[in-house]
Amino acid sequence: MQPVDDLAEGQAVFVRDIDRTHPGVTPAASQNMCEAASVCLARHHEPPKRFSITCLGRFDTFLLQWEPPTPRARNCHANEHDATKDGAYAVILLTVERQLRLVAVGQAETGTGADWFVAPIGRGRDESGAPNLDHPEVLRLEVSGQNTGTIGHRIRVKQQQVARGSPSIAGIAAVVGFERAVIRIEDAVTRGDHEDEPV
Amino acid sequence: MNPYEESQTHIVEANRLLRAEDVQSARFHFRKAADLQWSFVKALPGDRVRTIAVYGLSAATLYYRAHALDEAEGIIHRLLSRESIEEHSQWGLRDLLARIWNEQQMEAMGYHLPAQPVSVTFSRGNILHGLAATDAVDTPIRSVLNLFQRIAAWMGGFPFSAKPHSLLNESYRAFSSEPALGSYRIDLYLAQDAQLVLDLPDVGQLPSPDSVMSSFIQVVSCASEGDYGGLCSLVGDEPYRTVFIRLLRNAVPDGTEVGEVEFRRADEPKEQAVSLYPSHREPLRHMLRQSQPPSARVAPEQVQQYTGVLRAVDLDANLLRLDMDGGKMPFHKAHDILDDIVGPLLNKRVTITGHYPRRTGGRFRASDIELAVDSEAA
Repeated sequence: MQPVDDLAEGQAVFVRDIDRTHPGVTPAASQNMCEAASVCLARHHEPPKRFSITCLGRFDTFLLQWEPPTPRARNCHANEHDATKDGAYAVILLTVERQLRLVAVGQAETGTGADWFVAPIGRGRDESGAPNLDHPEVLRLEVSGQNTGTIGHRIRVKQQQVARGSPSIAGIAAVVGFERAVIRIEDAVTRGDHEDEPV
Repeated sequence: MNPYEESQTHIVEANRLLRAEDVQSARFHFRKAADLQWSFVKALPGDRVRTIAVYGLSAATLYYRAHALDEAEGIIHRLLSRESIEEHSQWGLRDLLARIWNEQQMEAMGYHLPAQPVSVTFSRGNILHGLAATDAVDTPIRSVLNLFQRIAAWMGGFPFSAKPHSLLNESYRAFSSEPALGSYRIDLYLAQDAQLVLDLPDVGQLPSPDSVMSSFIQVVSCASEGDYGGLCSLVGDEPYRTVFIRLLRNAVPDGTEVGEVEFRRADEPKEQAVSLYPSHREPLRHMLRQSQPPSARVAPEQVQQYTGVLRAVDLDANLLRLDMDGGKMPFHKAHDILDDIVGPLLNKRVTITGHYPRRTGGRFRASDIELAVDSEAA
């Protein structure tokens, strides 16, 4: 799996309309996640904000753009824990799409949260458009968000979660740190213990 | 829109309604989503084993969230009977089944369980894998359970009293799990009597077990960070704040038997856990001094401490009896040394702090009691 560096310098990625490119995301889910992301981002930054990414050992940056949240959106996502989780989904799905050319094909309830399943564009779905997790290119995506602080510890925890997960579906772990404007995407293998990279 | 997409739309709506605390409507949408996902699973060809396993568990979880426990149980049994279900999925299904059985039994007993318990993990010191000396962990556990009840009283708007209102005893019942393998971790549940929630003529709404547990984590978080200002903002009522700190101090590890006590909601990631270490004892004492009204403060040179085993509490005579090297000795206790603080300390080595007020004829008056730490013992 090779990261794809397809962003020209200065090109901003908008946190919106995830459902247009991710077939496993419904418009309602997209709206909810993007709204949550805007609340999380607006806690610390003015748009656009440059995020630094470490994706499978490779560095990159991109500009993240978002609509400032309305008071109603802030009220709706007042629970920091839920907002951070939903906001992380939005940012990470946009990131894996641009960095790895992977899109969400489905989400499943697990009892302790939800797992995302991603696949290369055009794969991982059946004729009706429903998720086909038996497709060999489908991957499980463990996502986490952190409002403040470094994300080095969190990514290691997520990597362990991926390693403990279903052995028949390979997985990747992804964490966004909203305050630090950092994103890390790793597979189940630890690539060293470096902390968040400077922006 | 295929059934999967339709189910996702219902899940988004259900979660939105949950955030708005409209549980009944949320359950309706979880049920719709579960029906759609189970139909999707049933229509899959038998060789789509991963999709069946993942969305089968997902459908069962959605029925569980819709509180359709029988349907969830039925699906789990059907999936577990399939030979092709991989081991990892079997674990997920069995775990959910255990939660469903517990919930069904609780309901038969007339109690409502919180969605997620508070996990308490004891580690370091003399803690083994799944084993701990009972006298090392029972004081913290009983103190935390007492703290749940005090927090429920505070959140329910009950005026502070030496003993929590009898209604709280009737309304809530604490449960603890067996220790989890690999550590000494137990899950503490605060179950609520479903009938009493409906029939409360003269008091305000009793808080849900979930909200009590969330507040508990907030209180521990403020205390562990030494954030007295934050704790004051969270708990404006001084008597409640003081009893919260005292009960938490009972849960601080001694550093010998237990080195760390970690708290978190079971559904929260481990990195969001809050821990208490032996070093938290002094900041908690400092918080107690800060919460003391100036009129109750005693000159440091007048303060005395006695250490011994707390053998008895005479509630009628307001006495604490300590077994000390020189024999048994009674101490008059101040009114703010409450039964729910002293109870978990019975038969434990404790340190009593107090002074001899001149006006009461020279009888020692105990103003504080806490577990004795050998390195600090008087």
